[in-house]
Amino acid sequence: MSITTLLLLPLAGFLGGIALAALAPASKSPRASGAIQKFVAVAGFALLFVEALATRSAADASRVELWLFGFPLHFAMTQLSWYFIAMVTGITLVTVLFSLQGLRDDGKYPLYYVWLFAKTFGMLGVLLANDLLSFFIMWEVMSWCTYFLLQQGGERAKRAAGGYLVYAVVAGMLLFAGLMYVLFHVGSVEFDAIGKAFAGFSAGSVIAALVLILIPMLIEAAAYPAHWWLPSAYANAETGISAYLAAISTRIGIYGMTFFLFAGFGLSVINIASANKFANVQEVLMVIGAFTMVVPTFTALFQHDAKELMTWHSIGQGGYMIVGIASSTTLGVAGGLFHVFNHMTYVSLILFSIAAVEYRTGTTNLNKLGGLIKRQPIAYLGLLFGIIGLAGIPPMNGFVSKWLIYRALILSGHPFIALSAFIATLGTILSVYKLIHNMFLGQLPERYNDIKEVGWGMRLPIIFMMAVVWLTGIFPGTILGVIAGIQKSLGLEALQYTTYGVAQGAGQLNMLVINIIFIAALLVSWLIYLAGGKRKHIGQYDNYAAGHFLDASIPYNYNYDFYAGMDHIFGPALHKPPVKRLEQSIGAVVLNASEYLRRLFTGNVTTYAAYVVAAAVVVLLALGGGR
Amino acid sequence: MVSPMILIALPLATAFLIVLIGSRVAARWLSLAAVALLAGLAPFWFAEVLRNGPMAIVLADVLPPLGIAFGLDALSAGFVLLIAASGLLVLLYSVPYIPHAGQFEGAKKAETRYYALFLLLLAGSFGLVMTRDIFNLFVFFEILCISSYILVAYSQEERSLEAGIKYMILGSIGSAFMLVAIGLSYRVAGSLAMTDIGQALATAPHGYALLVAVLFTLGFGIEAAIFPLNTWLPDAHSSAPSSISAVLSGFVIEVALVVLVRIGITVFGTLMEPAMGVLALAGVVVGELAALGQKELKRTLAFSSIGQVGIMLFAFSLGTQSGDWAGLGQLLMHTGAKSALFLVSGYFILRTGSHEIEAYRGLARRMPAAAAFFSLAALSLVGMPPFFGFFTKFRIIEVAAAARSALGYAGIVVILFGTVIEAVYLFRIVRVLYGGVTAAAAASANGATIGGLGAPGSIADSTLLSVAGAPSSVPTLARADLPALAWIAVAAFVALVLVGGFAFPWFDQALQPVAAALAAL
Repeated sequence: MSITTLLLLPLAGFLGGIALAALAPASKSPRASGAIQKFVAVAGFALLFVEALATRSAADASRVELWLFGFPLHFAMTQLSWYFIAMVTGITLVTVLFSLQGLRDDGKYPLYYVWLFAKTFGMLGVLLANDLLSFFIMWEVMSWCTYFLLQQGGERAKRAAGGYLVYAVVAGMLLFAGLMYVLFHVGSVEFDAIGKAFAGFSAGSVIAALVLILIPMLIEAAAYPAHWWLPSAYANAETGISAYLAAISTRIGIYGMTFFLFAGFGLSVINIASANKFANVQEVLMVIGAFTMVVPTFTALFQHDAKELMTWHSIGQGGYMIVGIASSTTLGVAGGLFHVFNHMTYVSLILFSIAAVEYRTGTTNLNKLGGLIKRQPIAYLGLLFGIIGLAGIPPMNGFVSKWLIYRALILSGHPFIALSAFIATLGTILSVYKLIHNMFLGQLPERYNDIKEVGWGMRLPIIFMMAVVWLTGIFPGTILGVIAGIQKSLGLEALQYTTYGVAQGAGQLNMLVINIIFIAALLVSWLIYLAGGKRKHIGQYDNYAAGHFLDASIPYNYNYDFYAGMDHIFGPALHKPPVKRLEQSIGAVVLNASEYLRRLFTGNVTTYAAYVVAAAVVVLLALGGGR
Repeated sequence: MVSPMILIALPLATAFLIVLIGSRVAARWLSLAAVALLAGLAPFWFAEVLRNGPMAIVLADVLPPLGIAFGLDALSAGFVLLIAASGLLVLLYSVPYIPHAGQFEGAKKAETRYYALFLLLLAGSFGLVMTRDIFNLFVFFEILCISSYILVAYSQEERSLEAGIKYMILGSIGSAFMLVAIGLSYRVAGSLAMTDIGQALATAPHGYALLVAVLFTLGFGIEAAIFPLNTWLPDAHSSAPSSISAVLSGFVIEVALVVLVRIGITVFGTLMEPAMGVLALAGVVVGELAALGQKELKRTLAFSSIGQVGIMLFAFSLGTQSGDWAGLGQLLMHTGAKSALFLVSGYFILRTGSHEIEAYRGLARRMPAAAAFFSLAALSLVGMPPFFGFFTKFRIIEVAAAARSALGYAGIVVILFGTVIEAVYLFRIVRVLYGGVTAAAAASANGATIGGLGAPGSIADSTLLSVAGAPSSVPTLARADLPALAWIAVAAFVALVLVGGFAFPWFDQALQPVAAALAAL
């Protein structure tokens, strides 16, 4: 069975890797063990990707019973899960290929590939799970494996992973409570049975179940206000891993949300849960999505670290997906799901480019970089393509999904949510300008004079992802076709699409025309540039400011503390926002409670004896008091 | 089939023999042989009880109420198996460990005492689960308690002595409560057999029965570590030699708890159940939250035991057979996981010379197997699938939800909250174990190993010395993992939490008759 292979292959990779690490520890022959691990990882993930592509035919057909943990778990492939599985396996393969050269210091990440296999196993399990119990079990496996994957790195990565663990366990426990709620109100963990039972339930019961189940999905998707675990966890990982995490790991939450809103319990659920004016799941989700778009995007603006800036964006882009999918319109769901793919491609492209710069310069600090355009042109082009996609500007793929989402929001009567989406896009453009300027434009610091482009091992993945970002921008129909298939299989109205965009009935968007115009405009401006008079090339220190001549010791330091003025005004609210304070207060309450309860154990036997007597009196009074 | 009385007779006889011979080598192997024999026989008794129903054991042909009543049903046979098997494993661990546990004068001679007392502790536990008579219960309880008081103080360090004395004072208060309760029951029943007392108390005035129930439950509850009677536990479990911590947390409090539950049912009906449920949940909250604030590894684990006992007691106090069933599963898992954690931490302490978690930074490099065992056991305790702990916790939540009572729902919230806290503090420890070694930590670790504990492997020590002298910024420490026998013991406990997860339906089935025996008595 192909679904079985999809689950057992990564599991075998994990167990084999553990066995390998135990038999040939990295400390003994780091080079050989590293080479074996890399080979196994590339072969394993390549096989997995091929297998994933080949199992598309199994979608919506079969249900597999697997005795993974001593009792049967149920798995099945749907169109929706296939879409995510193809993305998971694909981006993992690209990340692994990039890591072959990009991951420095193998000794520091001895079990990186092993945990990547385990995490993939957990993710595929979640995506394939076909009853709520299997879903929950695989969810837990996935969360724990994410935790161990995040631990692969330095001390800061480990601490950040600890932060993730708290959120993940809270999410797991809420999902557990949701599972129990459903089990005892419906009496079954089968999705069909739950859906049927929900159809007859009051809106309150359905909403209670959905809230318990959706909150964990939103935590995993790092939706506002449960997003604080993400920036430190992702930014402290090795940059190649950050790319993988930001690209797909978080998006399993988006899958879960889509699945439970439209697929798992049937389509009627969202209508029941959104019928009430005051407790309307759909509206609440859209508001959460709006906050997720705006707040993290503007927080990104004030980051001085390229990776941290990008992790904030990857939270913010999740907001677009949430509002799109929660709008539950044809355009919105299509846009949201397409945005998952687009975000995966351009965010990994951007982070690969950042990793390439970090590989040579050893830093991702935006205040220290600059002028690398001629030293690392491929990385520059990668970042340029990526940020055009991120900002949702034509001709890259990000434009198409954002266009769909804007249109869905306006047509479904959510002007304020649409407005937040525009505002967030403005913030995105401002901050990606900072990103590319501070890294590649402006003056080149002297210490980077001898920097060269990275090797082909890292160059090729960047070029490949550039091609993907652009080609899916010209031919969005390739992906939209899959999404229309998902919509059809869910019973939603399918998006009318063409190879180059969206068909007339749904609003018409032709990316080929847009690309031609775009390229023509580029040509025209180049011609104008050629036609313009004489040009003089000057060195980067041939410069002056208010009568002062600037030399290498005083660069025109536009890079430093970019957006300082805006930071001065908005910074205080964004650096330590109420959400962060809430998180800290909850932590403080728990720690204080711990401290007080700890003091119950005074170490004094007299006190202890008094407890015993007091307990006797209280229990006697409590039990006998009434008579 | 050998009479199960051998369970009490053999450890007692071996204990006396050991003290008479006085050689520590003989003490090791004699006690190992005796317990191995019992552990080998225990599965057969269990199987026989499952096949033929409960066995009544009559001593010297004198029938109750005059004779001493013992009985072996699925519950006691199950516990006999658990106690004998963990006893054997902990004895295996003790062979390499105990020579380093006490650094006092005459420690070598004292080692024979350790094994003798350990056997007494086993005899007491076996007697406790088999007896059918309330006064014998008291006698075996005292054997168990007194041997554990001394074992806690075995290392004769200040903190162990203090913990032992505290434990003894509170234990004596408990014994006094129990004795009063036994006297009061004898007054109404005129018999010491539990079933007679149960009948007599059912017709006695409510206040009288309640007084007996409360005195007995609280007296026994001290040993069973029910909140707020468990105040001795953090000191005792953290200051005892780690083998004894493993025994105390692994089965002693559990045996006390189950005997208490059984007596609660046989003798007091359902008089105490609601109070127990509330105390259980308070125990979960207090235990887990207090564990969060600890800086010492074994103290953290001890507080975690308080929380875990609370979870078990909560399941038992639901008063249904499925509740007992879920509670027993949690109990079995806790024995495996907590014993492994304590046994491993014993060697963490030996290798670093410190009780503080912070001193174990980067220890995973020196003790990869130990750190891996620790992580696996911690994963099970937190309840990650596919470990045993996941399924037992699942079962408990399921049972609690099925109870459809305010207590049940409160229990779900408390247990889920407790799990979050548990994950935080246990994985903070794991993170330290796998963290980077700072030069300072390495130096202090070296100093400790050289300074005290002329412990395991002088070769390792000399390598450490040379490294400490070298001006290396990246400290490399010699490997000093668990010794073979300790490795086997810990691996066996970890295997229980692994196999328990992968073969959970089997364990689930096996626990059914045990739970039925607990509920039906």
